[in-house]
Amino acid sequence: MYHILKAEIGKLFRSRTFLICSIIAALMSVILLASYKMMSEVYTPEFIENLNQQTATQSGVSFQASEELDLSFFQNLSGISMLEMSFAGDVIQTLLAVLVSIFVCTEFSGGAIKNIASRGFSRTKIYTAKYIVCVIGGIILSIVVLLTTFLGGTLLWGVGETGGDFIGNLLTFLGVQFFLIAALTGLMVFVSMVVRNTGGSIAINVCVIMFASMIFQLFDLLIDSETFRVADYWIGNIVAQITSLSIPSELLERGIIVGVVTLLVTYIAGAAQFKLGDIK
Amino acid sequence: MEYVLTTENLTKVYGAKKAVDKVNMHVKKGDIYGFIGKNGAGKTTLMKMVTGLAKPSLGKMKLFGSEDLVKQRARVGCLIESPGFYGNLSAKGNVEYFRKLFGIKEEEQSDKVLEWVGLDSKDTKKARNFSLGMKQRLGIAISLLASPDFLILDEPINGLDPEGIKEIRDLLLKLNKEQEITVLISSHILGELSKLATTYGIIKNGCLIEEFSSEELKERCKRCIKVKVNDTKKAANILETVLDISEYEVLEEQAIRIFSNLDEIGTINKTLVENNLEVTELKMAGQDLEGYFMELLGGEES
Repeated sequence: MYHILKAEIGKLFRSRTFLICSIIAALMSVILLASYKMMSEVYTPEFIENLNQQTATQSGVSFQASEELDLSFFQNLSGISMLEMSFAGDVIQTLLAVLVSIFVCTEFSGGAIKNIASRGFSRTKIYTAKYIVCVIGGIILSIVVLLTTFLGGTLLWGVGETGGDFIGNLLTFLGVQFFLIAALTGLMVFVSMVVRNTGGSIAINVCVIMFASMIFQLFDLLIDSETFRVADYWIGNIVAQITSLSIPSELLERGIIVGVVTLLVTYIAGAAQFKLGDIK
Repeated sequence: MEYVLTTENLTKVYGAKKAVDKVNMHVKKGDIYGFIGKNGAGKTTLMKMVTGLAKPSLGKMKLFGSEDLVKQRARVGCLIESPGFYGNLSAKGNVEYFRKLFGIKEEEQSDKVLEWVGLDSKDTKKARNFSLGMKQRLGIAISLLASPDFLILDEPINGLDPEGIKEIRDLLLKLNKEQEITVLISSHILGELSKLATTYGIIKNGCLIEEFSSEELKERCKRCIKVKVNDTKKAANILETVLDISEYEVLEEQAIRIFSNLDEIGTINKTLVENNLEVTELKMAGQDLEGYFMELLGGEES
């Protein structure tokens, strides 16, 4: 196990895909910062005031006044608020889907998995090592985004409010998000190990990230329940919903439960499928 | 007799098709076992089961006399179907990666195996840009990395030029002789295989139809006169009493193979006919190794 893990980690850090994904993650974060910067200049206090009273048009963009529109957020940007928003979009999840698909499926398309599996290594250990290394890759991608948004936000608007239990909240936020990314990675590794084809795996994993939330929301509309929403238990949604260092306890509990279930189910199913299946 | 591999009714079923059907294979220690069969006969599937890449549907196998296959597979090196490597790494990069993964501490082992297969350890060319022959060599180098006791090679000389084929043949003979590595090798190049193999196994439609030694093969391929008659018992009696021929064998299909007096084919024919035997076929046969295999595999008869 130690040797497989060591070799896989070495391979991850030599991987051009991983480097490219990391660079794209940083670039996307810079683009996000730039768009927030532009929006903060558009949504001035006067603009928001007007917007709350009537339909406003500025810079060629039209908005309908609404109570739900909280544009004051753009007047309170900081390094910390940008860090909090790091997981809100699909950037990390999409790049992770690409990285995991390529990292896992290349083993099968290049035939290297045969060299490893035929050496008498336990299939479960091979699967576990691949999963751990993909989690490491996912966490590093997350850190790249977190650092870029935080440092960029700090340069543009300052660090932000660090009062209260800032360190504790920050550690909880990072711990939960990294755990959820690890669970989501488990799902992606499972898909890649079943599909074993790079193109197919990227397509499925990216589609899951992009459309699962929408499908669950449609399903919720169909069942029309006031007490239970399937979309609330989709791990991708939970990752995107955690946009504050002080995570509401209900969201925190739901996130941990969904994360544990996703991780366990995908790991056990993936390891069993890999153990029992043939390698072509 | 010490066996490196034995299988007992080993079977692999894909859907309704039996890719390997109750195979009982015996690879002795020190053998170079030539595994012969047409495309789709089940060679690769059997090798995959032995190396743990495919699960048997039925049957058992032993590696080095043990049923603890996971442990014993650490003593096996293999190249199944196509060589497995990382295209973005050089030959040395690939071998180094697998050396670390296999937990081999001796750093010089990488250069040693690359030298064995004739690849330059200083060449920085990426493996994805290798020719087919170079890729095969790299695959063989990786299979040799962990100093295996048993080497399983599936069509290892595919894509090699004649010089490369000779180099790999010499390497396998050297490894077999000097390091006592047992080799299980499949190849379509029967002539080449016959220069290596000490034992043969013939697989047809998933069934292992025969296992025999190279000595037995030579005996079977001996030049002979093959004669088909309506009464083999009477023909055998005439051969012995009238023609004084004792080197012959009676085959099941109303035929006799005569191994002496090969230049007296006319006299033999005349004598058999004069003794009221119906000769339906009389020809020179055997001899050709490839023809013999083709006959076994159900191709044209020799």
